[in-house]
Amino acid sequence: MDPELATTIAFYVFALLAIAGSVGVVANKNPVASAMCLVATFVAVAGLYLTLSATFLAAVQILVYAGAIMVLFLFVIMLLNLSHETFEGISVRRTMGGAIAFAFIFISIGLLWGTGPKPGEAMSVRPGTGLEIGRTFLKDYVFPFEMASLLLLVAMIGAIVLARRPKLVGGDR
Amino acid sequence: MTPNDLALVGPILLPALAALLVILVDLLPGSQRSGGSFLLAVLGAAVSLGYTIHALMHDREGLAFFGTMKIDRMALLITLFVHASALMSLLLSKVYLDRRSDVEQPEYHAFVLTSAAGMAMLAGANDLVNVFLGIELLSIPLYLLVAMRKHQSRSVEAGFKYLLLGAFASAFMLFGAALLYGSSGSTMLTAIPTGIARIGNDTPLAAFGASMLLVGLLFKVAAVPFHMWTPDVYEGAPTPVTAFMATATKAATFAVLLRLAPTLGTALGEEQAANLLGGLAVLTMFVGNLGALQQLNLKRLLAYSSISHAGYLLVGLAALVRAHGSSVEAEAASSIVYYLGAYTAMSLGAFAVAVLIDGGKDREAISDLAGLGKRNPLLAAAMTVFALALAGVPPTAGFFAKYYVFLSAVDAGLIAVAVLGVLASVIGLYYYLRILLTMYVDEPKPGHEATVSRDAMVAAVSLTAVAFVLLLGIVPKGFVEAMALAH
Repeated sequence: MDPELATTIAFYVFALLAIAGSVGVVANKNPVASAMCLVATFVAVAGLYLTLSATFLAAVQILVYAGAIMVLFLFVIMLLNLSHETFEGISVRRTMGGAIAFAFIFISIGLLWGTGPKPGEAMSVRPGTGLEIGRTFLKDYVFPFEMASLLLLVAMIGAIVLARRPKLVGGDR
Repeated sequence: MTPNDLALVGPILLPALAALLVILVDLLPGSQRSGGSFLLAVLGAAVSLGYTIHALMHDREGLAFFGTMKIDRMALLITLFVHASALMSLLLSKVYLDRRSDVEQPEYHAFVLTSAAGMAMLAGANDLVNVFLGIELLSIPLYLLVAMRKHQSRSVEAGFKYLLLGAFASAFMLFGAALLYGSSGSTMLTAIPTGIARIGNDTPLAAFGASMLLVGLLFKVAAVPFHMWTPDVYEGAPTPVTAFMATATKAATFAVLLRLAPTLGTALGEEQAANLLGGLAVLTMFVGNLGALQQLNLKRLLAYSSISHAGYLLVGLAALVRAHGSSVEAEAASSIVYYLGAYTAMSLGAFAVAVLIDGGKDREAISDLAGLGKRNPLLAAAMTVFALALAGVPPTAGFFAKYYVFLSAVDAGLIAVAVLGVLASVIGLYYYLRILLTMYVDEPKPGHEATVSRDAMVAAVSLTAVAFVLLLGIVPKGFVEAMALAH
């Protein structure tokens, strides 16, 4: 089969899967089912990365998002015993919010339809292999790379500060 | 990476290093009670400020890290405001936190410093990646600082609200950045406009990307219609944090908006972008000033005042976008930077007074200012200067700040926006004068006398602020020339 055609077919399959998965996340009443739909979306997005020859990114996407983060999600859902989300009914505000969101989506699709690169076209750019990513991180983007580590450190310390019990010395009460 | 790169980004690295030191020193045995983290943090902020001033005076400017950072005069000036604000807010925190036992001080100080590092990074960012990281590095410590009084439901609610809406705004920004990259082929801010022009102006992709990026940034500066969070968050946060947020975040985010102006102009069309920004500016000025009229809480009043000031700043930005390529462009840019400097001084001063009258009991009502004119004439005089400056009365810096911004709007042909801006500031006059009336005329309610402790720290902060507000107002020309940005 013509590789270009194969890429196009793969793109549409993965893109539809990703959209179906995210609709499933919102539409499901059972949180566990929602989480599983999210896994499907993550895997489909990893597939999209593959069509762009970003192999490393695809692997990381599956390992980190579909693997580690989703396990945490499910863990929390099961720990909190969220069996069923209760549906609070339709209010004017919700309807308006939904209407605006849908209008935004359809206007965007209408405006952007047929513009931009075609599926797989970005392949002509540098391939997103581990080597290339490593080079980019540690050369051009070494500064933001290091600052990102500071960001993660702050977020981690912050989570501990907010979650820990007050110290006895100088604590509240 | 060369030593020169590191020297250029010194104003970003120094506060970050100081924050790490504060956290490490806190782990040493016996350091918890000594208050060493405060001294270390103040030292860190002061060194960062000194380094920035040094860099400004010796024109240490240039591109760093393969052009992803652009440390120019504008970046250094904005960094100067950010570090000054961080230092002042740390000094105010000392007074505020010593009267309360529910805040973990070392972490508090470290968060202020990391947030300042993020703001400095944002001021010099010349790449979408750095813009996003800078925004996050300034925001995440702020979310934490707002919720730092974790046994106060008001503080926790404010932190949660800010976190959720902030995350939403970040998502918009990230999506916008991706679309801009897709439509220009570059993440470099200086290369995006040419990239858009080359790849194709006819696709709405770039316009979409630029607008979404704009949404995220306007959220951070509390511009209408993305201002809803401001009063609640400013009220719930510890007052010194509010002071820092209101001043430094605005300065850093406007630095990015200044750098993005050519991109906005190319992606949306200069005329449309200027009209959009001008319209938002008018809305922001009116919503801010009309909202402030009904406030009884001093922090909420200052929050609405901060919204209205975001509006005046947007007037300057609209003028900048519209005057692209003409001499008015540089005029508009320096008027915005002057405004940011003036706003930092006057707003910090007003919040310093709010910290003093609070007395450790969360007294924040405007009526708590009653009788201040008799009990502490000096502090009342300082507050008078700040209120008049915020209202834009000459000869304070607030007047010239507004004057330059409106002047550049007129020069750029945005006359309607300038006229509406003047009208909005007349409305603003009313509630600033109400503060003065309360201080000098009203009798305090029994049990609500302004119990003002004489604190050297706050006195120093408010006196410095007064000095700057008056100095910037009396000799504005010199400062504007010093701030004249090479375009």
